[in-house]
Amino acid sequence: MQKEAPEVLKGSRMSEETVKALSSFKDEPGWLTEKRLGAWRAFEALPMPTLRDEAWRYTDISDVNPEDFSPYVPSPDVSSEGDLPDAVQKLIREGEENSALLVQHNSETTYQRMDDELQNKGVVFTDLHTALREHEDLIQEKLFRLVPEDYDKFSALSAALFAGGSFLYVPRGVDVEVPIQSYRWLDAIGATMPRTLVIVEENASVTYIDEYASDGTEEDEPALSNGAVELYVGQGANLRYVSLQNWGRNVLHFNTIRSEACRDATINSLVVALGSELSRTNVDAGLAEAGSDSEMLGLYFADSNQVLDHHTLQDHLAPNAHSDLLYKGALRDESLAVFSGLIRVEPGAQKTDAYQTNRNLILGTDDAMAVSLPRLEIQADDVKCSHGSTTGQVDDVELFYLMSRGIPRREAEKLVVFGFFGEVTSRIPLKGLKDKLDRAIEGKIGLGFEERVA
Amino acid sequence: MPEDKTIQELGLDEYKYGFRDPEEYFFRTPRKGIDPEIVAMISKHKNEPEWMLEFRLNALESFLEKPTPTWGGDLSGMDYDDIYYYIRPMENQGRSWDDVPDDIKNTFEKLGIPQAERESLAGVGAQYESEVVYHSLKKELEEQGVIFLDMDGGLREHEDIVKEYFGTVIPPDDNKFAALNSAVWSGGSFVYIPPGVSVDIPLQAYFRINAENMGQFERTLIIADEDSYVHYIEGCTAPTYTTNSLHSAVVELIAKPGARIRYSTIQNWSHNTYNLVTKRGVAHENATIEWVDGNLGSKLTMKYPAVYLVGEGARGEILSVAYAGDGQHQDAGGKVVHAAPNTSSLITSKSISKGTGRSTYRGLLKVHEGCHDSKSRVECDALLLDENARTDTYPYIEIEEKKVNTEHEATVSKVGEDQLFYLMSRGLSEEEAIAMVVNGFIEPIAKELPLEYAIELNRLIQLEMEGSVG
Amino acid sequence: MAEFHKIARIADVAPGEVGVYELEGHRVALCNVDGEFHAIEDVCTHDAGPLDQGELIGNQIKCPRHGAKFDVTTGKALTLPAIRPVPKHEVKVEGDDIYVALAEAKVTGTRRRRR
Repeated sequence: MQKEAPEVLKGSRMSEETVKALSSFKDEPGWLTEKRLGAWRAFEALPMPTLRDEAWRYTDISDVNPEDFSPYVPSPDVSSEGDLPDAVQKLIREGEENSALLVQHNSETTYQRMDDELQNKGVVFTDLHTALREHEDLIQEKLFRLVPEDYDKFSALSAALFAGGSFLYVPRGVDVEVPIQSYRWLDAIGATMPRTLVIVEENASVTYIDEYASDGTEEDEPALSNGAVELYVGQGANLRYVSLQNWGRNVLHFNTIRSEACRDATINSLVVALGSELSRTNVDAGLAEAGSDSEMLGLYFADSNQVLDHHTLQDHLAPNAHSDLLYKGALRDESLAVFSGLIRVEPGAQKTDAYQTNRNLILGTDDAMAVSLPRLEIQADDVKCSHGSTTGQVDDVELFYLMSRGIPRREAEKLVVFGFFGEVTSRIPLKGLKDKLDRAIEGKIGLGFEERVA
Repeated sequence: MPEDKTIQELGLDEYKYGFRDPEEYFFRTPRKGIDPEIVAMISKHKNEPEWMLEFRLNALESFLEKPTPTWGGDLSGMDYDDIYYYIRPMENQGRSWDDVPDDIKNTFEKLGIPQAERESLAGVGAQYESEVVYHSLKKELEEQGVIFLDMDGGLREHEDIVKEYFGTVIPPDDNKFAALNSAVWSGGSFVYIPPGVSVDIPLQAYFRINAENMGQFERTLIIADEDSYVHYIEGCTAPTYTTNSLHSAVVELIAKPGARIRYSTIQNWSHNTYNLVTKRGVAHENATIEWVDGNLGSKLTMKYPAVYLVGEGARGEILSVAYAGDGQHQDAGGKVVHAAPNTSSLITSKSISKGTGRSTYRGLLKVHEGCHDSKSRVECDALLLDENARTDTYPYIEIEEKKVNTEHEATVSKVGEDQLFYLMSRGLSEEEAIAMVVNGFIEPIAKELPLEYAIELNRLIQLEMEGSVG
Repeated sequence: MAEFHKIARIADVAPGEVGVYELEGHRVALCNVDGEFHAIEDVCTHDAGPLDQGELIGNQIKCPRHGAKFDVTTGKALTLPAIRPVPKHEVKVEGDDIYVALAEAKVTGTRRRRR
């Protein structure tokens, strides 16, 4: 049973009052309340980014006032999966088979379950507030370390007013074979600010799929999604993290995902942006120790007047690390896609291998715009680094080849687009997820599922 | 506002310090810093028409208003008040050959430059042997109708043409340093090629005598009329000795339909100089503009030659070589804006960083909506020769049109061990082997230069690597 | 043909001045050139930022950021770094009121105004 939230939290604005109220509502330890308040002050002190700031040069957020959203939106109690909203149940049914599940509805975690096997092995997967009660020391050490309140204005807000979120802990040597899944579902006007902390200990491995969805449309009042994700992967461990954003059209989505890979650790991330009116995701991979490896995949599809912005960082802090980034996106109508990717090789990070590729495909009308900023900052000499970026339309040669085989033009275009995204989806060993992505891409190209080529 | 008043109203016709001949006073003891008075004196001394004075004063206002950019190299050490913004050429004659630093003299020696040329380059201002060469060339050009003068002469003798084009490619408000140049420009070249004329030999700045060749605030305007061709070479590989700490030039190129302009520079300013240059060309239908840009000297260079492709079928090419040695920062690259269909562009950038040097590629590729069937390729390669050397790449790619093909690639590498091993096993020393690899690395650009420049470029880079050049 | 909407009164924008008005998601810069009113989209086609803070001299407006000039009577770009013309809207003056009908043209720019 959920407690009734204090009135001030359900108001329509954020303030220092709401920060205090939220922390006390959640019975948080003193250090966390202090942190939240410090973060709120930082949020108030920081100016809102404008088009004059390099990192926001192409993305206009001049009419976004995060503090004008309701900081906390409650959700109905749920005692079994069958009580969840129909749309959420459908997502679960159509999603990947999972060994643990967590559903956040608006600002609260309403449902969670985990296979006994995982329980017995000491895996922890619950919302951050519950985890704080049972694993305070561990969380205090790691929370806010990768995404501190001074990372940017949105991170400060997240540190001040996060609610819900998840904590995933995999003990040393544990191999979680079946993916773990969380859904963040929003069906109210207000802000949802999940905070995610993942700690994978030495030689452990896990796949975690984090999905964001809602059913709002562009007719609805705007809602705010402001998240922060911190991923710690210990020596020799493996993490596959998927962030699948498919919010309704009234959502403004801001998210920062930062990871730290220790010695010989591997992090594979996949960031998908399909929904929302405006989405800005920072994805930073820290190759902190020798032998670490990060594969970063990105898939985005912008239509009508969406703005999908991805800023990535491959930060090579140690020698002998490898990173490989591939972000591919399609655009149509009057949408805007921004990709800014930096490969940074710090002094001493010799024998770095870092690659980065961004490809944009423009479909349909001529009003879409793709911005690509592949960047390098290299301060060590014994490295192999390269990046590439291309932008163009569906290749006529490919089209004609397919049409000459009797495939109608529209079908042929669809196949070419699938082929385009195939380079990314083929690197994901999760069948349920791939099918879901294929359907979503299909919907965006503009053809119904029924018209699929036999 | 100063620009709203005439010289009389400003009280500048009667020099307020009380000397009767303001010119003589002013230029016997030039003063540092910049203000409307100095700008007005420059214009008056050159006997410029009223519109140019107004142009300068408006630009000064813009310069004073704009903040110093922080997005590129480190300009925090720039002291605007510690610079002479105008020194009449005669001032240079105060210097003697003895005053020229030894390391500069040594470089001239190694590059095999004749004494007279050395003196001229070092600003010692002696008679220059090429006067004879210049005269015969001048006659040939005149017969073709080619105009090749210093910028002051261009304004004097061809005011109509200058007024039509001056500041249209780079307006004074474009950026702080274009504004500065627009206020205090002096020297530079004015070139006009009539329709259909192809100038076979490259036009070179040092052919012009009686003008400032290595001015700090050169202003160059080149207009190639329909179907004409010219290759202009600015500067030279020899180190340019100067006490001036700021070099801020502006170059405007206009290629009319069917024309082709190639502009080559090899910059080798002394290592205490800030080299902040704005270069831009406009290419009309089926015209071509090529920038060949070598950056070897200066403490900090910020330079991004640009081509605006405004007519169908236009083409822009930028070839850039940068060498950053100890303490140097070369922040260079290129910009191409596609504003018409069927246009094409190519940017090739090769940079080398040695010691604590830092080379940065900064570029823009923009394709406006409606510019279908356009193609662009950008290739930037960086070679790091030492552990502490640094390189960055910041390409901005903004595509608003789907029916285009754009590609961008960048690589960073060091001299490969196998390459070295192979060359050394053939009897080359390690230095020689590295030099060969570096030569090979910059070859695609060096081969676009006239032979003697290519040779000098290669030799100079080798000298830089040996650490024997000031 | 787009509809005319009243956006201002004659007294609101003096000669030599520029007023900015929102109309159906567009930012319209209303320029008073010696008593004659002209309306253009308040966007510099070079960097897609606003023009209204720029100087209006005669019939030319100069973008404050990089000096690009536009003829407000035709929308034409007169100097680099702007090349594309800025959309020009129709203006009608009736009595003391100024009406504007929006042109079809849009400026695709790096800055997107959402909503």
